This record gives sequence, C-alpha cells and structure tokens, in this order.
Amino acid sequence: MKAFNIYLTGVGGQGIGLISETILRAADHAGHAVKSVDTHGLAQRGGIVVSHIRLGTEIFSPLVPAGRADLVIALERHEALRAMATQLKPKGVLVYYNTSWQPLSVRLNQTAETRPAEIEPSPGNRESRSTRCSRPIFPTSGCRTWSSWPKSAASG
Amino acid sequence: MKHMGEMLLRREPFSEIVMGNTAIVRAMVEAGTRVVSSYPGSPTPEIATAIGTMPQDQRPFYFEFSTNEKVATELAYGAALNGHLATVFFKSVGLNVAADTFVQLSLMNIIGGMVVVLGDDPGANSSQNEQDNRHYAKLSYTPVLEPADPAEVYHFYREAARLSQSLKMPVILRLTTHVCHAKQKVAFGAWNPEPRDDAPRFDPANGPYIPLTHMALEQKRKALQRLESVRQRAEASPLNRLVDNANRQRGIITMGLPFLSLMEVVNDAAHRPDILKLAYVHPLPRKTIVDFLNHHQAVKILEELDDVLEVQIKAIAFDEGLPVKIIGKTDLDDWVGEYTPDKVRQIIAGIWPDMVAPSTLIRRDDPAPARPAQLCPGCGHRSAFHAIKQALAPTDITVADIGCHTLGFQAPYAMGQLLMCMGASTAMASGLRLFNTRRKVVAFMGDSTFFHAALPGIINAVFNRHPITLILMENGTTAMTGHQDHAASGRNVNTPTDAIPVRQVLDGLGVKHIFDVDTYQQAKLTQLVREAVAIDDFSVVIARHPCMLKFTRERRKTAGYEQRHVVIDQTVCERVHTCVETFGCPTFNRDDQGKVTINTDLCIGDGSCIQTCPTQAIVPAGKSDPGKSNPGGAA
Ligand SMILES: Cc1ncc(C[n+]2csc(CCOP(=O)(O)OP(=O)(O)O)c2C)c(N)n1
Repeated sequence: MKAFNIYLTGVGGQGIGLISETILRAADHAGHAVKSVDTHGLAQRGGIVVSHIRLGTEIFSPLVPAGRADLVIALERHEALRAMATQLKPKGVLVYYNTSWQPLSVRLNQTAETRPAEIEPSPGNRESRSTRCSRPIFPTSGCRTWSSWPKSAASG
Repeated sequence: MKHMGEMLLRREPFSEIVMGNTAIVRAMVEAGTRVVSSYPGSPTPEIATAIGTMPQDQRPFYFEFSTNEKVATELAYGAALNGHLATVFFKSVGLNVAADTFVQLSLMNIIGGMVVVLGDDPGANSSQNEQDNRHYAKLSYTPVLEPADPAEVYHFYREAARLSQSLKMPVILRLTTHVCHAKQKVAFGAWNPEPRDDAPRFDPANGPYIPLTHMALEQKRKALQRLESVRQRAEASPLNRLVDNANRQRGIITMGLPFLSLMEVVNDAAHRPDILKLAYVHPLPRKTIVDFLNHHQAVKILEELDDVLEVQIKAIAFDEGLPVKIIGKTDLDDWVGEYTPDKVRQIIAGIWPDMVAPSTLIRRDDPAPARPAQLCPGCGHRSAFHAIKQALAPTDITVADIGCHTLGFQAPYAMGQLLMCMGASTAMASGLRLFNTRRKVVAFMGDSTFFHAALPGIINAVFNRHPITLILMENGTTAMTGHQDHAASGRNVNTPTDAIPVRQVLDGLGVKHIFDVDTYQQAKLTQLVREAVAIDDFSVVIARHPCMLKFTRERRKTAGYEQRHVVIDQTVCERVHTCVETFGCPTFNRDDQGKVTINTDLCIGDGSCIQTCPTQAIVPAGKSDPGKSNPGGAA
C-alpha cells in the first residue's frame, strides 16, 4: 500500500495516546506496516497533544510531513482548525469532535473562539471533507458530514 | 498485546509493536544488565514505565530512581566495578548535572561494563535547550552509538553493552526524542538467563581507580588507546549502513533520525544520492568515510544540531588531500531545531534543487490561537501563584525553577521571571538581592528539585545570609515528568520508605524562618508571604498541596468514584471575570457575551476557585444549580 498518513490531535488529557495505540494495533492487525509517534512530556499539561500514524511500506520517518495527512482526527475544535490548516492534504478527510477547550488567549478575551463554520469546507477554506461529531463516539453516531467530494467516499 | 511485563520477560523470540523506550528494556533483559539507574526527564521516563511493568521479583536487574543524574551515574559506576553490567539513563541536560563524574568514566577500567543512555532533545520539545551531547563524548573520550528507530535502539543497546563489556569502558547510547517515542514492530531475540555470580569483584588491582597526577595522565593515554580500538570495530561494523543508489556524483553522510527524514525526502527524487548512515558516531570510522568521500564528487553532511561530523570529516578530507566537495551547514537555521522530513526537504532543496524541488514543501499558516501548556485544574501551584501575587509589589522580582510551577511565568500570573536549570533559583535570587534594598526577591522551587540540586544554593543562602524568600512548592511528587516518587514521597520506585520531610531538612540546614501552609488556604498564604518577605533574613514558605492530576487519576481508579465539578450560578454572577482572567483555571470558558461556564470535562470539583469569586457565584454542582451546566462545552 502507498503511504496513508493519519494525524491525531487534541488537548492534553483527552486520551490521544490511547486512541493512537488502538488505531496502531488495528492497522497492524489488518496487516499493514505501521509506524507512529506521540507527543510526550511537557505538552501534556493542557497543551496540544498529537500523534502521527503512518501506514504503508514506502514510509521511513515516523513523522507525517506538513500538509500531507490523508486523515486528520481532532478531538477539539481549535485543534481541528489548526490541523486542517497545517496538516491536512488537499482533498483529505477531517473528523473532529465538536467541543471547545478554550485556549488561554480565548479565555483572556484576546482572541475569538473558533466556530464550527470556520472548519467547514469551502472554496476559500481547504478542499476537504469534514465530519463533525457532537458526541465523543466515532465514527458514525452523532456525526454529520459536509462534503465537497463524492459522497460515496465519505466516511461519515 | 500481552501484558508488557510478561512480554519483556519472554524466553522465546517474538515480534511486537513497541516504543524505542520499551525496546531498550528488552535489550537490557537480553544483555544481562544487572543494575539500572536514572533520574526522570523527558524523553526517557517511559523507559522506567516499561521497567515497572516487570514485577519486581521477576525483574532481572536492580532499578532505582536516584536523587539526581550525578548520583545515578555514580551508583551505576559503583555497581559496574563489582562486575555488574550497569546502565544509567537520563535526559540531555541531565548530563550537565552528571558531568563531573561522567567525564572521569573513560579513565577507569569498568570491569562490568556501563552504558550511558542519553535522551537528547533536538527541537527542545520538553527541555530548556537542545544541547548536542556529542560534544561531551569528544570531551570525555567516550564512544557513541546512535540509533534511528526502535529496532535499532534494541540492536544498538546490545552492541553498546558488548563493546563496553569487552573494552571495560563506558559507552554512550544517544537517543533523541522521536527515537524514544517512535513505535514500530521490532523482532526481538530469545532470552536465556545465565546463571549469575553476584560475588563482589571489586579489586583495586583492576584499576587504577584513583586519577591523581601521573596516574591521571596514564589513564587518559589508555582511554585514547581504547578509543582507537573502538574505531577499528566501527570500521568493520555492519551497523553502519550504505544506501547505494549508484550515484557517483552525490553522496550524503548522516546519522540517527535525520537518516529516516532523508529517506523520506529522497524516496521520490529523480536521482537519489548514495547515503552513508553512521551507527558509530564517535569515534568516526575513518576508512569507511574516506572510501565514501573518494567515490563522490560532492558529499553533503546532514546532521542535526551542531557541526560535529562536519568538522571531523572536513579534517579527514584535508589530511587525505581528497578533491571531494564537502557541503556542511550553510546557514544558521541548519543549526537549530529537529531535522524533521520537512526540515530536511528544505535543506536538500537548498543545495540540490534539481534533486528535491523546494515547491514540494507544504507550509501553511496556523490560523488557530496558540495553546500553551497550562497548570492543571485544581493545581496547587495555581492557588499559590494567585495568593502570592497579592503579597508582592509589581516591581518585586520572582525567580522560577524547573517543574510544573515554571508554567506560572505565563499570563495571567507572570510569576517567575527568569529560569535557568534545576535548583538554580535560590542562588540566582541571592545574586539579584545584592545591593538591592528596593525590590524584594522571591524564588520558587519544586520538591523533587529541592532534593535534586537545590541544597547547595539553600545552604549558601543560610551560610552567607542572603535575605530572600524561597517558596517551596511541595506537591509530593516529581509531577512534570510523570509523577515519580522522590525522597519526601514516602516511597521509592520499589518500596515504601521513610519520607525525608522537607521541613526537617530545612530545620537541619539552619533555616530560621520557615512557614508552612496548604496552598488552597489562599488568604493565609498571602499573609505568610507578606510576613516572610518582610524579614531581613533568609526565609522559606512551604506552599503545600498534593498534585491534583496524580490525586484525581488515582481516585478515578477507586470504586465508587464520582466525578464532581463546580457550576456558575448565573443569577449571582456579575461577570467580574476574576475566575477566568486572574485565577485562570482552564475549566472556565467564556463566550463572546462574557458569560462564564464550566467545562465539566476538565473540572475536578476541587473548589479551589470558590474563594476567588468576589460575588460567590461559583458553587459546587448540586448545591444551587443541580448539574445543569454546559456538558463538556459541547455545542
Ligand atoms: C537536570 C534535569 N533533570 C531532569 C529534568 C526534567 N524535569 C523537568 S521538570 C522536572 C520535575 C521537577 O519536579 P518538582 O521539582 O517536584 O516540580 P513539579 O513538577 O512536581 O512541580 C524534571 C525532573 C530537567 N529539566 N533537568
């Protein structure tokens, strides 16, 4: 299989490590070669926690290069926006849990909170498919899909 | 996956997906390592986590967290002099602490063998710098092996152990953050425990072990000779890899994780370069390198952080009179940050744009607000900063130390205006107090740090009478690195022990003014700090509260645990915003109308915020508004 890159992101404490380990083992169980790397250490104190998961035989580094994630899974809205903008490849898939753990500057009223509308795909936005979940269960229940792409390929 | 401890102790060969930090533990088991010591620091603490999964009575080696890296190194050295294969591991800057002992190791005949595992942190992901510890290897004549992924971590540890045992010298295994934390499937070998002879074999005749005057010079000569034999071994080592793409124009010499980034980048290149990937990075396999240089017109040296390979390889080429063009670092950016695939793409495109086009690098702006790390909900340090700030004048000087409390430098607290390294706050504060009668100086410090490196600074403040105030942020654990026990915890990594109370230590050191309070008693803490800073002598305030992250995690595992949280009584709230803006617990969300709600996913119901609300609008859930808060802030 050609490389398939998954970028998992959220806030420290949301359980990124466990989800990452689950996906990693599922991929292995399905017979894919797989590598991954998680953020550990300082960032876990309410900072951004990410996990890179890479499937395929043509991959070397455990790190997903910027703008090359086939799938972004975000457990929080600000992190969904960040990862969509910086990590998701054109036409990639975003699945995010629609909750807000406000970053410091939002709580201090210095920047505005990210709204779901900013994450929905639009021509000015990224050309991506996005699936919004309002319950912390994925993939399907409680999720709605916006698609600028053929529905058949959508995951939601 | 089977239970990790069972896996690590398996007799038969097996394959499993593991982190680099787990792979190394299986390597320790198979190699017959007998003593392992450490002080916690990212990126290495998960090595201890993996060790901890092996039940203590089945663990084939002794393990401890020592009080600091120097002590851990000395312990491992002592054990190795009795003939035990020993290993010490710690983070990059830990080597600065261990250095006084570490630089002597290569002078000694270490009969059991000793592997020093370093967790360097290119990119300073969780360290106060990104120092390149290969310099220490040169300084101390110590060989270095550097793996690129978990499989190599396993094999290279085995090689380091064999090398160290056969030459009786210390060997460094240098890991970096994303080698420690990378996961992949690794094929492990069998483990055949050999019968052990634990007779203490220390004998001065194996030495000399006393490096004074003439002996020290003789020992240095021996160390240099041993380093030469390592070089011979490095020349022949199958661990060095040649990726032969039949490119006689361009070659690249690299090592460690940047090798994988490079492979990623050149994978789709039209004309791939030849690549020499070094496993032995000190001393360098000279003949291997000369051979590679001879076969290429231009060779790029691709190394993270400093120009350690570059300088040596250029010297080799000069000595040999080779015509090859050697391309090292070309600008300052090449010295800074981790060599991720993106960074390597940029570097290679900069020198050979026909091989890797710069346009293949995707870089986009991040539109989301930054998310700096925070003190956790309920953190005693937050209550402390909130209270202490009220006792100080805006011009007073606050000095931070290393630990979770360092995060207090951020808004809204701005407590801790300078930071150096573990244990440094008291003495820096003492210096800031000299000739200074106008601005009070207050130093902060965590309790693990207190035992690690702080005592000399504190003793100095008593001894030389520096009238500053030290605030000891006692949370009972080494929190930032994952809750390791320390001397005042009442447990070590293996068994319960007698706690060494910090207050008694301070008493014993002759500190005359010691105050003591739970940080949740904010008004009292404010009062005590006012009193302490008014004293014209060295004073200490012990600001105590258990780490609430640890406490809550343990509570969640107990039967009958009920999640609690506070709510905002919207009928009382006047939107003064002390909770969000001054106390600053991440639990409080504010909407664009200024309405404050609770993120119940985050709130632990500790109630430390209740006292901060001037209108008493924060109440425990179930008291006024029966849990009708905004669940998880979900829309
Ligand atoms: C020399 C050195 N060793 C280890 C570390 C890693 N480290 C960073 S924070 C920290 C915890 C300090 O614990 P403590 O002083 O109890 O403060 P807490 O995090 O519990 O508030 C450690 C060990 C370091 N930065 N420097």
